This record gives sequence, structure tokens and C-alpha cells, in this order.
Amino acid sequence: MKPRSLVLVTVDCLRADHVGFLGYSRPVTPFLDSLAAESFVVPNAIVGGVPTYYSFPAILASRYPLAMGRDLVGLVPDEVSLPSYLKQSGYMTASFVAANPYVSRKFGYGQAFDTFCDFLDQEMAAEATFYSKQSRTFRAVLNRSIERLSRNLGPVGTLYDELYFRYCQLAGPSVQSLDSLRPFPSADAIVDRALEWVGSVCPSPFFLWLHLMDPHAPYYPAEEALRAIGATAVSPSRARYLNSYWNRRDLGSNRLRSLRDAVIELYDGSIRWVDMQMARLVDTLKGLQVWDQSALVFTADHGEEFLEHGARFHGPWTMKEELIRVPLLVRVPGVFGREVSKKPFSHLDLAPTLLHALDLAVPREFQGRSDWGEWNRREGWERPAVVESTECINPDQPEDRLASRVLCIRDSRYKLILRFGCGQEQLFDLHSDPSEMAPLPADIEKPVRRRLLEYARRHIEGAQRIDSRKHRLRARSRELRIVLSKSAPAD
Amino acid sequence: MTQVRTVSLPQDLCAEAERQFGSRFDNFEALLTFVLQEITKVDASLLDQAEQQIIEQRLKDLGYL
Ligand SMILES: [Zn+2]
Repeated sequence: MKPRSLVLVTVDCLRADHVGFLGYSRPVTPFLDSLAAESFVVPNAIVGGVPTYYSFPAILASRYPLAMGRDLVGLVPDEVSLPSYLKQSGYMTASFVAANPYVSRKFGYGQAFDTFCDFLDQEMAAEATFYSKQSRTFRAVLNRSIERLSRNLGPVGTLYDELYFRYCQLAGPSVQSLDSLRPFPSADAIVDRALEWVGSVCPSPFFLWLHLMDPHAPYYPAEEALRAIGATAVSPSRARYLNSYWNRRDLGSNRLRSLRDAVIELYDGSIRWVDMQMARLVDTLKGLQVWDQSALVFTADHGEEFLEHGARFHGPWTMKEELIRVPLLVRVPGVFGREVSKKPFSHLDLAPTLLHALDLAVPREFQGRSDWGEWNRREGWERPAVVESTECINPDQPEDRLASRVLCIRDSRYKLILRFGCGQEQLFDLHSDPSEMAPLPADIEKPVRRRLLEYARRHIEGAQRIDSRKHRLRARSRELRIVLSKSAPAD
Repeated sequence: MTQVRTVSLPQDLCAEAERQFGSRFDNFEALLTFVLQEITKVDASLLDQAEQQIIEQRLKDLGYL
């Protein structure tokens, strides 16, 4: 029996090595681990781009993020996507996105959904705050003042810096709970709204997409979830201190490392909360008698770095496994799931594979291909995964989007990372160096380097062949309308 | 002065565009000029070509092209 409905759950910042079904030892995903026993589990799922704004075109439209031109971010108007195709095929469609402005109507994500709720009217925009607005906050201004002052004070400045920072934390406004600190709706709120919608449309076939933000910085998990993973109790002011400290730009890795474990505990608590809400989602779908006719997909838009290579959060340039490898679990009723091949599976191929599982044709506009047959026959595939982004960290500014490309070609064993802006080329052997600590010297593995460079060349060449003029004009018009509605021209 | 070209546009469309956005511009020609500049000013494909050339040069350096 083919499933009639599809539920896609994407989680922001969830790295593959922090879920139990891919080997994490802390009990963060007991429900998902049990679900994995009856699901296809993809051990090496690789995103199409990092971060959020470069990842979702691959997940939802099976398209590389820069394929339409890097000045266009998000889905372009009238683009054929998983939701548009399913809607056209008679599905009711809804999306509930936990206040991530890069997955909002402005970037084209509202199109093709009968119901689209991005919670941005009610909540602070988390990811925009995280990148572009944080430089304007009071704390950031304070931190920059401290940084300047401590430089002038020399060695004494470091001590002054620390003491003053701690004083500011303690003297800040008191907070009652971790929940009050979270700048986006938590998974329970998203699941509540989603279930309400499912109840209103079933038994019609539906496509439901939830995007959960809980593991996104700042990390403020539900206290219940922290208890569930056996974490030490964390007061709201301590959690605020940890997050503020972790966000400081003036500290080197060594200083930050002292609180790394405590920060990761908060991150893990947030994952457990997602797991608890996934259990509630599935329970309710069972109660509504739709679980047996619904496929469920659980994945992430990218991972998160915790200083493994000196960086924090999820900048678009490192392309390390912490960022590009994400969990992927696909449960299809009536099909005996299993772990699929260890070959890298690109998110680009997810939508075609899901359509195949739903017994629907794959639109010719999709750049990916279905691996549904390979999954069922327990076979592998031979193509590497491509991850692409630019060094842009503020796509709200159209001129910032014209930043240099970062390109990663990852096969089963080797990984080539090209940063065009600084001319950096790194080749890693993931078998001998799974942590990517030492790029291979330039004169080693030249045939491998050549093969991956050729692949990179074909990838960029392919993007130039796509005739996106119609989409481009419509996308530019959409943005122009926003500009014209907001402000007068500069001159 | 840059050479100009005279175009004919539907009156209703011009009136509606002026109603929605006209107050921000000195005249209708300024509005149209701004819109056309905005939709033509960036050619991201030039960046793709430059990056393509960097890879080709790299392959040449390795003795493969
Ligand atoms: Zn994200």
C-alpha cells in the first residue's frame, strides 16, 4: 500500500552525530531511535548547502542553492517544489515554521502551501537576530566596549574583561524560566498547531512540513528535557550566562572551551525536547488514524559546530562534517526500513526519492534523482554529494549575496573543499582522518584531486546552463516590490 | 546626456504604478528607470564564470588540462 500523506520534519542545527540512531551515547532521541528500527536510516545524509538559506532549496525543490544565480536566495516565484507538486497532485499542504526569517514568505517558502504559518509576527526572528542584528544589541555594544578597553589595559585587561562580563551577567534583568529566554516558538507549540491542522483536513491526503528551531542558538531547552537526559540542573541565569559567553567574539577557542561541555548539554537538551514532541506528533497521528497511511521524514537543514575546528554555530564556509552531515530517517508504512548504503546521500535526491515512495513521477525541473529503488534493494550509488554556499552571512542585503562561492565535493572517502574567496583548496581522506584535522598535501592523491576538481567544474558549468531568466525576473520583481514598499531609492 | 528612448505603455498600468509607488519619485520616468536599473544591475553568472576559470587553472597547474 502506498502512503497517502507525507509529513516532513526539519530541525535547525541538528548534526548527525547527536542522535542515538546514528550512534550518539547520550539519551537524546529515545523515541526517534525506536522509530528508526522500522525506518530507512541514511547514515551519511549530506545537505545541499549551509546554512538555512542555502539548504532548503535542495530539500524542498531538489535544486542546488546557487543554480538560479547566487543573487536569488530561497525558492523563486512559481518554482516547482515538493509542496507545489503535491498540491497539484491533490494534496492539502501546510507548513509551520518556528520563526526562522530565512524560511519565510519573503524568501518564497509560503508559495504552494494552503496554510503557511511562520510565527514571525508573534516571535523574535531568531536566525536574523543571531547573525545580523546581534551586532546592534546592548550586550554586543557592551562587549565591544569591553574588548576595546581590555586591549588598552594590556594583561590586566583580560582580568578586567572577565570580571566585568560576569558582573553584567549577574546584574542583568532577572529571568523566571528557560522558556522565557527562548527567542522562537518551541517544538510543542509548532506540533500543537500542526496537529490542529491535520485534524481539520484528514482524511484528505496531505503534505505537512514542520521546521523546528529548538537546537538553534541561543540554546534554551525545556527543563523537562534537561532532566530527561540526566543533565545537571541549570538555572535560567546560568543558561543565559553560558549562551552569552559562548556568543562572545573576543574570546579565543581555549577560553571558550572551558564551557563547551555545559553548552553542549543545553544543545542536547533541546534535541531531547524535539524527540519528545516527535513522540507526541506520532501518537496523535495514530489517534487520528492517519499514521498507517502517512510517510514521515525527519532530517535537519545543517549541523552545528562546537569548536571542533575552531568555529561555533553554523557559518557557511567551513563545510566540515559537523555542518554538512545531518540525520535522515524515512518511515514509510508497510515498507520494512533498514539502514541504507553508507554512500553520501545528497538532500538534492530526497524529494525525488520521496515522490517515488509515494508512487508519483519526479518533475523534470528537479536536479536530483530518486534512490528509492537502491534503498529497497540495499544497493549503493556512485555519485558524490555536492554542497555549495557563498560566504554571505546576511542574505537580507542583496549586495551581500554576491559573495565568493564555497564548494564541497564529498564522496565515500574523500572530500574536497574549495573556498574561492581566499583561494583555499583542502582535500581530506575521511577514512584515515575522519575528524578532518589534516588536509592532504598538494602532491598526494593527485588523481583523486583531479577527479573531484573535474566534478566541481562540471557542477558550476551545469549551473550556467540552466535557463532561469523567467524565474530570475519574477524573483527580482518580488524583491523590488519589497524595496519599493519600504523605502525611497538612494539617489 | 544619455540618449533616451520613447516607449508606449498602457495608461492604466502607468496610473496604477504611480498610485502605488509614485510618491517616492520625482516623476514616472524616474520610477521606471529605477525599476529597470534594479532588475538589470547584477549578473551573477559572471561570478560563476570566474570561479569556473579558477578550477580550470588549477587543473592545468596539476597537468590535467
Ligand atoms: Zn538553519
